[in-house]
Amino acid sequence: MRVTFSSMYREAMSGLEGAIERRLDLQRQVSTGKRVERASDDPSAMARVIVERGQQAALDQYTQTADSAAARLNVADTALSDAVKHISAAQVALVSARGSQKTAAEREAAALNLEALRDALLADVNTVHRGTYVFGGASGTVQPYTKNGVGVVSAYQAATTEVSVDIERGIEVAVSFNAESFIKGTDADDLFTVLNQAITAARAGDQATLSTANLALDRALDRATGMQSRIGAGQRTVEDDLARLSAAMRGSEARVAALEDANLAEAVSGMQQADQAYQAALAAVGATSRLSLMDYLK
Amino acid sequence: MSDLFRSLTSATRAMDAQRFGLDVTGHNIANVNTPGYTRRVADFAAAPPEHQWSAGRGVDVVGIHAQRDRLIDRRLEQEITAEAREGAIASSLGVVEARLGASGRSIDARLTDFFNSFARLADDPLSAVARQEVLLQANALTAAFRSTAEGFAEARRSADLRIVGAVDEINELARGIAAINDSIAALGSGRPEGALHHLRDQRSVLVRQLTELADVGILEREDGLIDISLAGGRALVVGDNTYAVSTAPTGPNGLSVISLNGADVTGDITGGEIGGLLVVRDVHLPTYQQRLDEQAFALAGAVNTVHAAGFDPAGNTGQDFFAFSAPPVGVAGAAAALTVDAVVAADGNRIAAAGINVAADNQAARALSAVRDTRVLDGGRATLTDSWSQLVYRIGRDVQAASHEQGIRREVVNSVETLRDQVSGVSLDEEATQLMKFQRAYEANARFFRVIDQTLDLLFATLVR
Repeated sequence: MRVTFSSMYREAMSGLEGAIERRLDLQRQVSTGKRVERASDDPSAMARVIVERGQQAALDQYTQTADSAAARLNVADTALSDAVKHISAAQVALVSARGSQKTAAEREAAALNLEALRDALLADVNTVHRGTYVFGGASGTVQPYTKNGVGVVSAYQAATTEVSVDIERGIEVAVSFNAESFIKGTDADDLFTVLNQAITAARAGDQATLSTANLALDRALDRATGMQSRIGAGQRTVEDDLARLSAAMRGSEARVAALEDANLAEAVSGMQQADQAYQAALAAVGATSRLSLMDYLK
Repeated sequence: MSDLFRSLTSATRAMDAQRFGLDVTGHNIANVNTPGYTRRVADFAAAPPEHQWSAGRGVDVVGIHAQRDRLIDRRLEQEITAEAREGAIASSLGVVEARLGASGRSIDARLTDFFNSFARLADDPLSAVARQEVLLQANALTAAFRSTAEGFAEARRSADLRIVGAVDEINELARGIAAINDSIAALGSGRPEGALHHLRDQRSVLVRQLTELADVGILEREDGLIDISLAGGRALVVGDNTYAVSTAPTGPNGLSVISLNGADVTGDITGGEIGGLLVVRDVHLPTYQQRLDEQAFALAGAVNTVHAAGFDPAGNTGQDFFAFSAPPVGVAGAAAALTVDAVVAADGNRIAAAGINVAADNQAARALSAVRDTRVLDGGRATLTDSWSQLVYRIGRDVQAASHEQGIRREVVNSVETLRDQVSGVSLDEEATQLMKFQRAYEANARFFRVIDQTLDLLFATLVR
């Protein structure tokens, strides 16, 4: 076989190009820490990375929404706890107004206490978080209950539709509630009307109305604690969800890392090998160039 | 005595022959790096004796031949055509791939940002900031679609421009080959072989350049001329005649069709750089573009359907969220024309976040955010992100396949070139031995000349005495 110099140089150049290409690729991996940067590096891995990154962005958003929902539910829970306390206190005040032995001063004191508790309860159901009413349903900025100058509280003015947010795919949690569902429920009168009737009855010593009001407060308390349980369940859902989202994010990040991250130890070792191959190819070209029969011509 | 003089003549011819051998060797060494050069070999033959008592008249130079293997040359041309095709595909699509951007910095990221903005709006439906963010992300998303569509269109135009340039090169090369054919024909039947080989080498360089541009058929004739055909057998060069290849922009895209002798041959050129560019321009890029258009169209359709069913905070019923600056034909043109509807773009409060006519309801915003998980493409099998990842996969796979194929073809070209070098290449070691061989032969013949000369001297001296 005739071996020409152009063949030798072509082979040498091919070897050198291959070695330096390999070295550059590994050098890029070491400097960026990524094995896959362009789709053509590994089309299948890149496609999966895109889907995973989409999932991560969604998980991140769900986490933000869940955090926001947790804050809102905490506010609702606190307001509702206060409302429960105020309803319970109203029951105590009612008891203190009942009985034929009560003096007018004692009944007036009970009536004043009931007025204060009514106003506190009104403040509870009108709790605002980030500019919207927590118990205003989907109305947002419409105040659920208002009170006029003589202490008469309006009927429920906000929306009965509650607002939920998605804290994960297929998992939603209510974050804005319908106050009427525990202030009135299925009763004929809402709690504020009952309290106003009780205040009037306390002053008048109307035992029958006080007794009816006490029963209504019992039912309101049940409804409020029921809603509190619902909010508590929502809080637990959010808490569980945040843990799940965090785990899902870690899993997705691990998958992305496995798909696109370079094995640095392998890349550095490969770079050294490529370096040696390049040096060897250079040496081979040099050695080939030195040897020629022409050198022996005198 | 006359035989002695004939011996002197014979020695002189022999020395001339060896000098010719040295000359050929020198020519080979001089052209060791000349592209297309084929190694020359001096052909010697023993000169026959004149009569019964003559051993022979020494040596004759009967010619010079170039060491060429037509089969290997043809194979090399075919492989060069294939390598150039894959190289053109890899190079053109590589640019397209680079324009796509890395994952997390392309349409996929804009899609997730857009849907996340609706999730944030759902969290706070009356927030002016959240509404502005939706508009911001929607504008970024439509801009990403338009930019990617423009990237594909630009890549098609670039491929087309290069095709036009390559066609000009084909015409130039065809004229060069025809001119060399003409020169070879002009040498006539008693043509000097050295000049003939020189012209053939020059022609082979042009043919090689031509095979890089397109798949051509080459027919070497008895008279040493070559005819070249293009695009499935249509004549490009016949002897010293050429047939012009031309390009003309056609259709709404203004992309060029290639004509040869009046016939449209665009679809018949499948190899070489032009073949690769045509595949990129007419197959790959339109496929990518269609996929992108389908995504833009599906996005607009899915979002508009939900948005139109919602209500804005003022209680207005929803309307289309996305619009097209120019109506798509089917889905064609959807990506390039995708915009945010002018009414919505002008007023963030026109975003319909509510599913019922209550200001702070968020059901529409939640449903819009959930479009990210809705399988709106491929007959309900793929989400928008799935579809984008499939497009990126396809482009990456096409680039990878073309690069891989180009690498294989390059190896084959190298191997065939090595085979060609084994036949036609110049080996300096071999030429060095040739130098020594001819030098030694020259010295021996010169010595022979001196011996005859001395013999004649001796003869003349005897006669004078």
